[in-house]
Amino acid sequence: MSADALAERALVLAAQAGDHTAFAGLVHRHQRRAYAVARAIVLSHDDAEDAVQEGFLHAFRALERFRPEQAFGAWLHRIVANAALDIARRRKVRDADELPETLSSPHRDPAVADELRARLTSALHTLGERQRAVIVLHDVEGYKHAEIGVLLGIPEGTARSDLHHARAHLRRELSNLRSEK
Amino acid sequence: MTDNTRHDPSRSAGADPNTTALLRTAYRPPTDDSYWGGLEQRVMQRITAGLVHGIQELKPAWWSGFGEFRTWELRTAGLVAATIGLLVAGSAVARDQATDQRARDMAARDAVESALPLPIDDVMLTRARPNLPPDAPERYLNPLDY
Repeated sequence: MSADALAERALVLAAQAGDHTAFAGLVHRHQRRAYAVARAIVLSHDDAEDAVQEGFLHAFRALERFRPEQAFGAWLHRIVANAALDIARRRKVRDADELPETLSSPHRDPAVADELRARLTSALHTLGERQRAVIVLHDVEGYKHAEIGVLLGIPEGTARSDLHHARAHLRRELSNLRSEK
Repeated sequence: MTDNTRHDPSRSAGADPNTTALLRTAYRPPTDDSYWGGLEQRVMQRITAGLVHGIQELKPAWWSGFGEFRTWELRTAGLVAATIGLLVAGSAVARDQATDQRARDMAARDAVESALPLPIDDVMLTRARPNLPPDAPERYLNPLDY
């Protein structure tokens, strides 16, 4: 076991014994990845932050049921993913302006960049909730199909299929614009 | 720290590079460390608030027993009490009315009877006799006198 893993295990054991500072250490370690998981599932930054807070709160309450020999990160991220899925279900209909307009773009022509961003926003909204989560978790966050399956509670094959359909959908939506230009 | 991004460009095989670049831009997390420090504080505040709330939920208050009477039980008890009260009041009113009626009947009978100084037969006889036609047969009209 690595030093990092040992340090994390010590934090988990201390947190289970009631040490809040140790739990704060776990929050500090895992909040960025928890945010990435949540952000892949919900459509806005605010909802992602809500999901992270909910997830950590649920994890704290369920901490005594966690077995220290497990990977704390995987356990936590599953909880955060569930919190994010719950929020996403509650907010099915959202405005199409959730993606920040001020983000930098990989395209040099600002007009093309703006149009692509708008198309991407629209395409992401028309994509199914699960397919959107799968493509972001895989292509942006680097999760494997099996890991995505565990996070979202779906079979690995479904994650693979969702990724294929999501990529095709986004490619189709965005390639129209490129060909128009 | 175990929290770094796990992104590996080689694992995005099959993805459209432009689309992936757009997605990464759109889903880029906040880069300001102060944001993450603030989020950590908010998470811990929420946990602390949840603990306080949980303790308050577990601690029974002196008035908590009344809470059980606030809804269905209270309404049911109130309805039963009101129904019983109405029945009692109704029967009392009915009993009073019957008593009053009986008293009125008795008073009326007394009043009638006290207003008749003579038995009715005597009255009839004494009053009827002067009005009789002079030629009425005495034996027929007053047989007891014969």
